[in-house]
Amino acid sequence: MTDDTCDVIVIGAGPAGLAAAQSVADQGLSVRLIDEQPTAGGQIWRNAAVVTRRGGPLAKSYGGAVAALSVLRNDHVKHATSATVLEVALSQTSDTARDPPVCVTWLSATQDARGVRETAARALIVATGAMERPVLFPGATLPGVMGIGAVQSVLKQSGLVPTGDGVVLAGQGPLLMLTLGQILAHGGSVAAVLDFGQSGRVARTTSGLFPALLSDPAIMAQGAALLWRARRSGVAWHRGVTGLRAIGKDGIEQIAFETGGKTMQLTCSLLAVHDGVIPNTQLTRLLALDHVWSNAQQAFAARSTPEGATSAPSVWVAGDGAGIAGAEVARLRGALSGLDVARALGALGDPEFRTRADPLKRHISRRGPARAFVDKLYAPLPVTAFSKDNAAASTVVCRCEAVTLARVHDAIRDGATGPNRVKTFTRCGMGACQGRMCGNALTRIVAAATRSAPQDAGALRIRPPLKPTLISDYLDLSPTHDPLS
Amino acid sequence: MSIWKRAIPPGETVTIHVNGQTVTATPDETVATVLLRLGTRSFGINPASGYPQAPACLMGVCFGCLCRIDGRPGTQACLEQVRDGMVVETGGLRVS
Amino acid sequence: MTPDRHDLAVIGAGLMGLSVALEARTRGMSVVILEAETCARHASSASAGGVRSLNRHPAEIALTRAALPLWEGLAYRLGRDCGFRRSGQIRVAEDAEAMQALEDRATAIAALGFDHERLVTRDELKARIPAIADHCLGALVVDDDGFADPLATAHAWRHANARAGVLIREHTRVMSLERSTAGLRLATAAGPIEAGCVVNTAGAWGDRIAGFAGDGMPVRTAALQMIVTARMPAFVDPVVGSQGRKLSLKQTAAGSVVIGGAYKGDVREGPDGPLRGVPRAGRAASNLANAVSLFPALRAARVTRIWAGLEGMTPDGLPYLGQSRTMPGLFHAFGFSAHGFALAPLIGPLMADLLEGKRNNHAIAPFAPGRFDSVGSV
Ligand SMILES: Cc1cc2nc3c(=O)[nH]c(=O)nc-3n(C[C@H](O)[C@H](O)[C@H](O)COP(=O)(O)OP(=O)(O)OC[C@H]3O[C@@H](n4cnc5c(N)ncnc54)[C@H](O)[C@@H]3O)c2cc1C
Ligand code: FES
Repeated sequence: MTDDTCDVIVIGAGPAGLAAAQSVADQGLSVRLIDEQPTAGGQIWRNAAVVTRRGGPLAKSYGGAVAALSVLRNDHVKHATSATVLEVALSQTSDTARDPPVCVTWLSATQDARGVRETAARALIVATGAMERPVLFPGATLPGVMGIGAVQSVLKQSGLVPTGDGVVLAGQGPLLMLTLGQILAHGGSVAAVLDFGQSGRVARTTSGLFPALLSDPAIMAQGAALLWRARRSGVAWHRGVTGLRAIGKDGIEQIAFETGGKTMQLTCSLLAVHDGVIPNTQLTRLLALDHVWSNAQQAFAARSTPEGATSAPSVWVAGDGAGIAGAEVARLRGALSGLDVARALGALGDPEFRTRADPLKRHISRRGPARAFVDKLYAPLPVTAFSKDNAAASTVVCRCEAVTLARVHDAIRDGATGPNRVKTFTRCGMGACQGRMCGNALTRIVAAATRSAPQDAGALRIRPPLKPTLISDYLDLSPTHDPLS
Repeated sequence: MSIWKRAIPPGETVTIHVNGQTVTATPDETVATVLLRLGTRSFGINPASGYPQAPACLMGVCFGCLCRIDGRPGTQACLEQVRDGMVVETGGLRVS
Repeated sequence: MTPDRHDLAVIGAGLMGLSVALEARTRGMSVVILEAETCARHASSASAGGVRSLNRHPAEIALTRAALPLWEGLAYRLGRDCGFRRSGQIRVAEDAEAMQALEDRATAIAALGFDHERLVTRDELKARIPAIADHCLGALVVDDDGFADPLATAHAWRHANARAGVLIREHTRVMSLERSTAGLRLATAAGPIEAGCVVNTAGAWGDRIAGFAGDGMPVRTAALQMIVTARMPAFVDPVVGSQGRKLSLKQTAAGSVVIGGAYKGDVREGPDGPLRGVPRAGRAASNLANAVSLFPALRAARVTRIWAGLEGMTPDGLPYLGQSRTMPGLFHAFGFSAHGFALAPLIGPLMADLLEGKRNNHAIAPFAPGRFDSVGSV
């Protein structure tokens, strides 16, 4: 086990984390950048080095990646790949120079350097990004059902596209249209799109259209082009869909759904679903930071100042993990949080902080109306929107422990007034994914059933380790070593 | 048969072993994408439901892709880049 | 505001409070439980769920033996399954010194007139637990010990209380306690409450409640760590410990392995006392090393969750059971020092007897609230 110390630990090497590392390193502070993926770039710039070198249609969505990745060559930055955070210890110390208040325990899972490490630092920036919002319908756990973002990840990571006549995309949002375009551009095929978007919403949203156009013309133009190309792609487009169900024995074989008062059935080999992305709050919950519920995004995010400072003195959040705002804003917020950390650590004076931070803040707030427009246009669907059949034994809330929606409702009726109680009644959230896949839905289900605000209903408590960890790896950890005591 | 096809011709290749069979892969594939490309439907059996499970997220949050990789059970195949000589077993969580 | 009136107010809705409240209600009292957070939020749900008479402090042996039949009937009594299983408990010797210690223990226990702890040979141990490491030399066992599911048990008790008409007030912290004309008066976050008598089952916060009455009863808060693994195929039936090693290990019905050993995490303090426990990876590693020493195959298991529950520890590791010396009508049942779970079904009837001034056979002198006073006890 190596123990190291640095000024700042950044967790997550997507746009936000890379920009944060750059800001911090620019002030001469040392950075340890930790990410569980084999290469840097996060979700949007997945496998960036290869994709940008190769060029082609995919590389178009990697604008800014090359510049952002250059931070990895900075002498002040050490990047740990395939590195999983197990635990973060925080202490309240007044002399942060002498007693680093943050200690991250992490597993290096690279082939040549496997082992548990502990890194102490004076500040922590959490830039763990977003995940796709899991959606609930009967059969959603069958092999062959995945996220639309997951399909895109397969393409970005390994250059694979789905083919054949059984590929169906379902849900709503820009990612659906973007991925549809990317699949087709790479010679893949899509048989049908099931559009769950609510008709009439465009009309209701137009009031925000003009400010949105001014706020981020590039994004809005991109969105319009996507919409136009998607509609002209020739793919069968079913609107106003409800009552989705995936059918099959050991994997998906068919889907059934309702549209225009009719029930339709299609053969299906891959059903990819999407209803936007939500902040991945696993780490900020582990740290027991204060969180706030966003009604527009129907998700929690750590409460933070515009600079990313959280309810814990040495912890900042940046990027989509602090609330969904897209890659460019993630980058800006990363850069801003890095500056704020440098200021807090005394490496950057107040006037200079303002000179650098003000333009970033202006860029961020200028993009606000565009985000608000997208949030409204693709407002998250109700938890039950994908399926009407909530009693179905195959509508599962917790995949890992096979807890159905019906069982969750039973528990709530039985007095489980919050997500943690549902967890102790039913084991919902106790499995391998540690509540990642059911947490968001559980808060929404409990809040609706108990007629409380999601903020009050709360969220699953997250315990260490942050990922299920082999005991053999734990044994690496010297028991006597206790950096914070 | 797999529905997943290479859109981009493979460059350099490595060899890995999947359930005892030798398989060619490219270094930018993860174990999960290799298995999908091979047409693998079930990556393992969910220990609670007894039903097959498979990747849903490809970004490390769903745990549907758990495999035994180089002897380590319960490894997330979507976060594991392939390496020459890697040994992969599907089938879900097991004690050694 | 005119205060609510009850025959009994129970402070703290952990298993002890739930057990006392239900028993008192069954005996005809009107009962309110006041809980600062939510039912069984702390030690009671963080517990390992061990129902162990094996290797208990001599003063507690009789109580745990008396609690065992109550566990047997608990699901019936509460109307819900508590996951109780007579799996047995076993304490393994890993070297000659440990084996000697177990033999000494067996002799000492027999001299006290107990015959439930029994030595088993290496072969018998291996036959009982084939997965156990080869270096183990033998063990001490209690066959009718076992374990229950703490979460299921807490829910069952909470339900039974609600059904029986006990008023459960969550998010209602008691902030002071004083004598009144009708008995005792409690100030709570939700207004005043009058009660004929009060039972303090406030766990790690019990000393604060005692302090309201002027009872000095030392308790240290410990954040006791537990570790749980992903589900595994069944490989061990009894609850396993080791002489000379901090370890308790069991496999639940779901297949998860639950590992403890009284390793301590950090205690986060809040304005109202201890707030929550924060587990520490290094100490979990020590605990896991102990588990792997007995079960080498566990190296390939995955830890999914580590938590640290807040428990009140007394200087001698024995609970406080008895009446306040300074405030008549106030009774204490706290400081169970990491092994109260097994006693929970007995604490209800035992405390209810004290409340009613009934005699019973339980020798509770070793648990006297005043035993650490310099001046002496009650
Ligand atoms: C599946 C998906 C597809 C998307 N597609 C698009 C798109 O096509 N176009 C678009 O504009 N936006 C897209 N988005 C949104 C876009 O990805 C984000 O706005 C942007 O990437 C946010 O950047 P970030 O740095 O905050 O997060 P990320 O880029 O996600 O970076 C976070 C990093 O943290 C790492 N990490 C997380 N937890 C840990 C941990 N505990 N230990 C170590 N590392 C950890 C992750 O592996 C990741 O590398 C998509 C989002 C998702 C989830
Ligand atoms: S595919 Fe979801 S965790 Fe690997």
